[in-house]
Amino acid sequence: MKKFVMDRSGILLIFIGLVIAYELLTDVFGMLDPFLFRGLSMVIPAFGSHFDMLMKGLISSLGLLIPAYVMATFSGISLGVLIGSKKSLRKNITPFINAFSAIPAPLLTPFAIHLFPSFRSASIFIIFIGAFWPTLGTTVNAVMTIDKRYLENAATLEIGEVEKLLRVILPAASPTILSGCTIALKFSFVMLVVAEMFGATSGMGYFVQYYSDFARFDLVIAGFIFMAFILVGIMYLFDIMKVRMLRWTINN
Amino acid sequence: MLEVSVNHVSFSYDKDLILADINMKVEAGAFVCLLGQSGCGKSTFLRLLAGLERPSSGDILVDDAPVMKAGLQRGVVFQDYGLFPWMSAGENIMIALKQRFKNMSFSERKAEALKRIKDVELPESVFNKLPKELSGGMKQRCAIARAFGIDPPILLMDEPFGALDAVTRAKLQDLVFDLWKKETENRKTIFFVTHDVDEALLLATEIFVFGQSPSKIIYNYSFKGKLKSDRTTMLDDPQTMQLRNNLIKIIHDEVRTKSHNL
Ligand SMILES: Nc1ncnc2c1ncn2[C@@H]1O[C@H](COP(=O)(O)OP(=O)(O)O)[C@@H](O)[C@H]1O
Ligand SMILES: [Mg+2]
Repeated sequence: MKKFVMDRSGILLIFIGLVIAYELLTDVFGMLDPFLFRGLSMVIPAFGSHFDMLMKGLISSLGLLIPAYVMATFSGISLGVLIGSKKSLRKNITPFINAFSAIPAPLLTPFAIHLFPSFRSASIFIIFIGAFWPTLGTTVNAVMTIDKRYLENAATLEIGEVEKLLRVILPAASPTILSGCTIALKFSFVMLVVAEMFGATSGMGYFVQYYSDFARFDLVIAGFIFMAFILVGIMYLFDIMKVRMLRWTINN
Repeated sequence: MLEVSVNHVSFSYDKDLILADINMKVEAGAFVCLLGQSGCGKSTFLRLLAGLERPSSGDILVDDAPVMKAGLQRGVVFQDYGLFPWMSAGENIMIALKQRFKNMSFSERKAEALKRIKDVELPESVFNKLPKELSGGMKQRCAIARAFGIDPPILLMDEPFGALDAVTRAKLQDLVFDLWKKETENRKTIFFVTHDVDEALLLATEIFVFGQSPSKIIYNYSFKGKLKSDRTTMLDDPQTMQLRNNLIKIIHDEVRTKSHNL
């Protein structure tokens, strides 16, 4: 535990610096608009009073985020490998991938609400879309740029199609695919707030949205900070997984 | 008995003619060294033998059957990139055994891979190591263990020791030579690319010298029916030394007269 903290003392120092700077700009010198930028004297109590609600929001948000992200990752990688490894598919489909990935997912909200039977499924769809395109795009690219020598090696060993896919193509492409998954994860967090703007009755995005309508910016800021901590936590777990999977690429 | 015959093979990358009218006939069990300056097309020729590229014209026959695509009949040891870096050394050998011996169980494959690792004089602990955790020499030992593990009648090696220090290289030359020699019947036919004349003299039963590109075979020597000296006696054997000087001269002359190509 002590080593864990020591290794991250730089992060901790910057964090403390940021907190102090914010406190100086708000409570102490009042240089930022006090109506929007509430000082810590108000934000910290807001955490205390609304902690239950934030936790409840976290659980309900994860209920949208996890299925959406898992589906996006699974379909993005499978389709990406298929498209990336077949030149004819790649040639004919890439323009559409580019076109669709350029549509800002928030604009799809009305369509999603219309097409899906419930708000929940519409929300999942919106997050899914946010995470799907970056995953698909990077996977296609990753598979396309695999070092040809690995595939030749597989050919001289007569490795079958399925085994080649799972044990050669996916691992060879995994560094790029995983960086796409990281981007997709951040995107899905952004989309969470959008997705919870309609129909949701709880959630981290909903919390921020709801109190911003009432101009309760102490709670809005508390909500942002809470989300940031959750995202950092998730990214931390994600990194542990990534390091384990990419152990073969990391130089000692 | 696999006889390899190469008939009027030419090859171009786009418009560049790399190989022009290559011919050779190689008996089963020969140790063929392909010698030539770098850039002359030795690797390209080996890729044709492997089936990774197709000749622009001419054909390559193994026992009268044309080489159409890469496969287990012709094992390949590359200079690097031979092992998949995301698999342990043991898994690298096992995945090859799995394709070659479809009926082998997982534990049989594992036992066989361990045996092969020991055959190339590596400790068992190497089994679980990733390629990046091994030295260059150890990696090549693993690649050799894998190549001999799938027991192909033909083995193609592209400057497999080119990146190794002199001592390691000498050890690995002896290793490959011994593994090859050990099989008294059904001895593998090895095509071994090198730019090192001494390496060719030490290992080969047949030497083919490639000229500058577009490359032809400019010299061919066979040790068949002749007594061959080994590493220790080589330097004292006048015949070997004469051949050595001759080979060096041929290669140098070729480079000098065609240096405008470089
Ligand atoms: N993929 C490729 N595309 C175009 N030219 C190539 C390619 N690979 C090799 N060459 C060219 O072919 C020639 C022979 O290369 P190579 O077979 O690697 O020679 P060697 O192995 O004897 O050093 C070189 O001039 C090289 O530039
Ligand atoms: Mg070469």
